Amino acid sequence: MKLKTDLITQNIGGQQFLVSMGGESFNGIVRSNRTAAFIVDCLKEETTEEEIVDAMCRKFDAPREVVAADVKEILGQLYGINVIEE
Amino acid sequence: MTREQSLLIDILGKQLFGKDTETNFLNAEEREAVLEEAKHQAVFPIAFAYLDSEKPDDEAFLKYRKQNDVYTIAGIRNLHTHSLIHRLLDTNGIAYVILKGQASARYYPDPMLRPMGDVDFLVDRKDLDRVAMLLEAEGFRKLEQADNHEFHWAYSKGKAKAELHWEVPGVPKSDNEIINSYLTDIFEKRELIDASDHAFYVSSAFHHGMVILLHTISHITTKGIGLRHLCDWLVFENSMPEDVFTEMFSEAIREMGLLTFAQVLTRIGILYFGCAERQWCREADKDLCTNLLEDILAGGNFGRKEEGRGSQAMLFRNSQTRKVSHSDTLMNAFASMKRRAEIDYPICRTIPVLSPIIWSIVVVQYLLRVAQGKKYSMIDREHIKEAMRRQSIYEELKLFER
Repeated sequence: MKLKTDLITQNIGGQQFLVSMGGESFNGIVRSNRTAAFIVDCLKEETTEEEIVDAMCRKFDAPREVVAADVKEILGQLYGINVIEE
Repeated sequence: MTREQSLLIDILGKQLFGKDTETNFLNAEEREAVLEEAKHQAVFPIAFAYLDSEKPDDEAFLKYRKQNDVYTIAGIRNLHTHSLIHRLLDTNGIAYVILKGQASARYYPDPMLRPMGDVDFLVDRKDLDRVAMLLEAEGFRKLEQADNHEFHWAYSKGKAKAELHWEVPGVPKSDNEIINSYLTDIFEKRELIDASDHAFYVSSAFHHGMVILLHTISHITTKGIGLRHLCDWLVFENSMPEDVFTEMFSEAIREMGLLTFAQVLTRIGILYFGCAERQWCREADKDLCTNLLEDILAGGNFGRKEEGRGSQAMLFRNSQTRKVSHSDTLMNAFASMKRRAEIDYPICRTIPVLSPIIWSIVVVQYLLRVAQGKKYSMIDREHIKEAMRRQSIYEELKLFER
């Protein structure tokens, strides 16, 4: 899975924003916290849910099951707004 | 000046220049009035940021949060488009500078406070065709009617919008040698803005100041400007100590005939926006400052608050020279009609003998639009009166007079 190609991110004042340059599938804005921003950054390259969890565990000091639940929830939200392609 | 305009100016003054006012805790109705005015004046994100900091929780304010998102999205897209244009031109060895947009935004306390639209960039005329080819190869599409414009072509690619300029907007068409002589090294003296996630070239501070003044004149003497144009100048002028500013600009703007205009804009900032006191603009007439500010407020950004301002401009501005004209209104109206004919029917430039026929067509088209209510009549008494009132303000600015 990967972010759709027309999506761009921008960091403003310590917060990451995700918007589309095409606007066909998604025309809004996503404000990401630190965790979500990390996941969005992982999705700029082709990846899997498991690889994102691995990367998160290396980056953050948290139990794997908690990280996995966070990743699942955020991916669900990103799928919900149609910004990820398989 | 209405109460919401006065509140809006206080808020802009506070946000941009730390103005000390008592504009605190507006009620819902006042907030709505201020934000609606801010939209007309193209300064919405600045007013919103201030009012949002008061954490209002009424339902009406929620819709403005959504509207602010639209500005944020546009700003991010605009910044990305800057980087796209930069990569495209820089890797192909083409010199360019960004006009307005991010070049102006970098003088704001937070660049995202400045609303963004297109990316306006200037290239040397000799590179024009090559740049057009590169843009089209990158997927940009030239917009319909783009060929009709005098000094730029408009392009879009998805949500990315850009205007390719080959002239600095606002340079008059006649008696412009001194202005052009100051612009000859605009590419040579450009500066690279290189942040972690974006890069682009802007003109030097001197050229940026010139671009703002010329661009503001070009719009103020046609449909009108909003407070954003004024703020662009004020944040720029306030970004440097007075002695640095006067060393850089005094002689040049006097020679170009822009001194009175620059003084008036700056003094408006001191009188109304809480900008720091400046000696170099103290000669600016206070009544003229007030009248010009009222004119800016009346028109809004590109005249969106008052229909017919473009038609008024046909009576006091010579569209051939792009200057406010002292000649009679009939001559100005004729020049506007001639200019319209040249834009809509380029054949009259190549076969001048056809001109009288084409001029007649343009006049008939105009009269039909007036009859259909799509255009303001230039001979309406109130319309002429308003045009003359505006002309008297602009004449006092001594634009391009030396």
